[in-house]
Amino acid sequence: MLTYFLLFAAFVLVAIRFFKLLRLKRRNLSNAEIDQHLHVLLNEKRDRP
Amino acid sequence: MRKRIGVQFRKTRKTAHTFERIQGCKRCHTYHVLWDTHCKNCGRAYTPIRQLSTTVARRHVQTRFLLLGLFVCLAILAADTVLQLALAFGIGALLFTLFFVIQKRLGSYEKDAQFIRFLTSERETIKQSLVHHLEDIGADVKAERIKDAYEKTREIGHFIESDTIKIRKIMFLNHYVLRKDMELELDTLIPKTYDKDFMEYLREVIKVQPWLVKKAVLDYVKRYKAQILLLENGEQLIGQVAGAALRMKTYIEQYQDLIIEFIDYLPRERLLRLAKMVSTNRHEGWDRLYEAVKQRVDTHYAFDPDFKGVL
Amino acid sequence: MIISSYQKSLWVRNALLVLCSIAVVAVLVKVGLCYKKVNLYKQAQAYYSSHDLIKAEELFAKADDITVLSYGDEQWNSLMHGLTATRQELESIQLQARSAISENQDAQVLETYELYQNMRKNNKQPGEQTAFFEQLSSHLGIEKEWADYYHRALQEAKDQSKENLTQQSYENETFIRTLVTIPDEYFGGAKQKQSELADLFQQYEKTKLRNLTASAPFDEVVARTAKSLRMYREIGVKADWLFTGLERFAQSEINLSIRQKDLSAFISQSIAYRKIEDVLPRDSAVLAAITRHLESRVKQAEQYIQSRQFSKAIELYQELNALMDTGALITTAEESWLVYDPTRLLEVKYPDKKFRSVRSGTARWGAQVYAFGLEESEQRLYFAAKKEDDSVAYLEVGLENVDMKSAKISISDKLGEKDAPLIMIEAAGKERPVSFTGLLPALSENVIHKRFSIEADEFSIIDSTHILIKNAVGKGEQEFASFVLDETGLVYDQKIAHIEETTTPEESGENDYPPDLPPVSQTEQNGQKPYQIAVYGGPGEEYEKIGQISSDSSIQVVTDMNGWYQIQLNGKEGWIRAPQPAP
Repeated sequence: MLTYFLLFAAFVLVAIRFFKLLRLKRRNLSNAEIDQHLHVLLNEKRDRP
Repeated sequence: MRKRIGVQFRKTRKTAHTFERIQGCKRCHTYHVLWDTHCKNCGRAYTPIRQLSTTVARRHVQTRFLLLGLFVCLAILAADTVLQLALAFGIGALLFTLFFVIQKRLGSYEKDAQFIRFLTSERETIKQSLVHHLEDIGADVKAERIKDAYEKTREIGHFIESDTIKIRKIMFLNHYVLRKDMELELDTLIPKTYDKDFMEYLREVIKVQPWLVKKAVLDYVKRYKAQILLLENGEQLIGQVAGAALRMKTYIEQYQDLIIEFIDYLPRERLLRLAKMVSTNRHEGWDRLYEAVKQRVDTHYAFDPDFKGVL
Repeated sequence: MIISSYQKSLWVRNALLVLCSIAVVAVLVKVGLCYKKVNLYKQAQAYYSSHDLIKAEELFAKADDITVLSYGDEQWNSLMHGLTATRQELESIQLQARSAISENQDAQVLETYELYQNMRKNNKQPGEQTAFFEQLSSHLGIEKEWADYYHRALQEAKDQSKENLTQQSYENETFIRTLVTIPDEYFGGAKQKQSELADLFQQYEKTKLRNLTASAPFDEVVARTAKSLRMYREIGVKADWLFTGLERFAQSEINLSIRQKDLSAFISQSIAYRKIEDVLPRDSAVLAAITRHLESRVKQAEQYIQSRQFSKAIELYQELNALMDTGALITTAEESWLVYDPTRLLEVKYPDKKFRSVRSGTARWGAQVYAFGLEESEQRLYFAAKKEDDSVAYLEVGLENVDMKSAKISISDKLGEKDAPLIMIEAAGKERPVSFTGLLPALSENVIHKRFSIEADEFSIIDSTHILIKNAVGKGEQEFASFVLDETGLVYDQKIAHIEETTTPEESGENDYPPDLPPVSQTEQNGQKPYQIAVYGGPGEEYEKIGQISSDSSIQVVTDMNGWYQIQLNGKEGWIRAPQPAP
């Protein structure tokens, strides 16, 4: 019984991974977006004089 | 006017993206955006941040894989009968295969997401590293290493969108003689508000690299025309900016008013170029401009042989 | 300090790597074990098919020990489990048997043997179980171990019995029990065992009995044989022949004692034989003979009593007390003797004292029987009486002023009451020729009252209260006076006459003595020729004459009574008439 349960858990792991990666593929991030994000991250607070 | 020094600035690295400038020290957990290749603290070579992120992403995948492996092994260990054992092995192998296939097909998409996540998580550290750089710049300024200060500030300026940085750069730059062969910046120095030093810099830059004048500069000049006119030789400056704008037809069209207003301050070569352009492109609503040019030419350059027959 | 994702990812990955490695190793181990188990299982099945059940079970057990996997056909597995249980049980029995055999613990060896036989019985149905059982037991060689042990035990037992007989030492008879515990099969069957053991024991015991009767005393023979009988009974072996032998021996010995009239021997033999009553049957001839002879001896004692040979009877009873409780009989004999010879009261109580002038009788002073006598050296009169309630009272009174040598005792038939007369003591007086003392025993008060003590020339009892006294000392001197006997004593009453002349005490002595005073008897005979005196069985001529003695022979007087002396004659008691003074 435990075997089946663990196998199921492993399958769930793989499935989650698959759907996560699929979602990322749909999102299709580009380097420009990354750059933009970095820009936003670093410039959110003006903390330098 | 202060005495300007001649200098050769270090060439700035050209990267497609800003993040490519960030390097990290694996051991010290600090970041570096300048040109050093090795960490000053531990001597270890810097790794590009993208590479760091890729490593993390790879480890993440490995972790997932090992977790899967653990579950499958536990399933095998928990198997009581041969059937269960075979099932565990079979399904385990299947799952491994699936995992590999998924990874191969869709793995690359994870890298970018992982990178963003990485950047987000490293944000404070990056910021701290930039602050550290600023401190270094402060020391350089104190030690009157203006060149180094400018170069470092220039690098930092890629990351931080701040008038302070821009003005600092301008002030550093104003220490130096600008030459045609120097790698100069203009658009990246445009402050949000009117700045006298920027105008000074602009005056110098136009002399050597007029092609740097682009829309942003033209808009700035247009916006702060009144303040510029208060400057000494302000009209000449605007005239030079307008003259630089004559490089592109779109600029002529967009900034007709500015050109017409300061047509008197255009340099001779620029006027000549303009006259040639208006005579060929008269039809496109350039009437006013044509008239203004004609008037200028007729009043001041009637006897100039270069201007004869243009309009 | 913020731990970078870089570091964190490294740690997490490494931790999982370690865990996963361990898991992989465990999986490899499990796979290895599973492979091993399947192999063993298949081998076990192969052996099973070729009917080598032992090997099959062995391999199956090894495979079964690997618990990481359940494998195989349920039915076949449960069958093999059954075989494993059988093997384990057999091995444990063998282990127990081996340790018991090595320590020579017969009981444990037998226990394990029986366990094994039980198992064997349970494995009788045709099938794999039985086949396995048989294969395994022959493989382990269990039965051989028992066979070896028991054959050795049998031989040792036989040797032991031979040795016992040769050495004539019978302390170590453990071989008997050992032989009984050896299972039937090693004799060739139950019947064979019974008959062989019966022969062996019979031969052993008979020889032993023969040897014992030749060398050992009676009680040892009896005790040892009884011990053997008990043992045989305990171990369930019929040993009637031993009993018969014992009876025969005992009968002959006891008969010999009876014939030889050796009562003490008879008694000790009877005691020894009765001790073993628990092993004897109810119809034991010897016991009956003992009882019979005992009864005859009791009858003999009764005859002694009837012939008044009380001491013989009592002696006999006392001897017989070892065999039966003769206390009551002795008491009865003593009572009869007392009735017959009340002077025994004094003899028994005061064996060291020598009494003179002993009188005895019955039914006086509230006593069933009484006796009294004078103890000369102590100047006392001792009185002993058995009262109505069968208790015995001993009284005594001092006779300080009485001349014991000349004292004579009598019982007054006038003075006192009919059932309680006065005891009169007449002796030579100091101031007068005669002194008279009157004593009255009061058993209820446990005292002898001295009623009066007077010296006078003569003493004449008129009636129960009046006494005529001549020349009494004190009041009544020189006169015939009448005295009254009252509670206080003798009281002067009145003068009857005056004494005119003095008379010699010798002349007046004989005629004026109160009639109830017997004539003085001389204790010695002077100047007479020796003659034969008849000795009787009792103090009277009506008794059997048992002998005679010469009058001048020295005799040992035990006591005297009513004019008869009891003497010892050749160790026997006899009575002679008291010698009379020459007229």
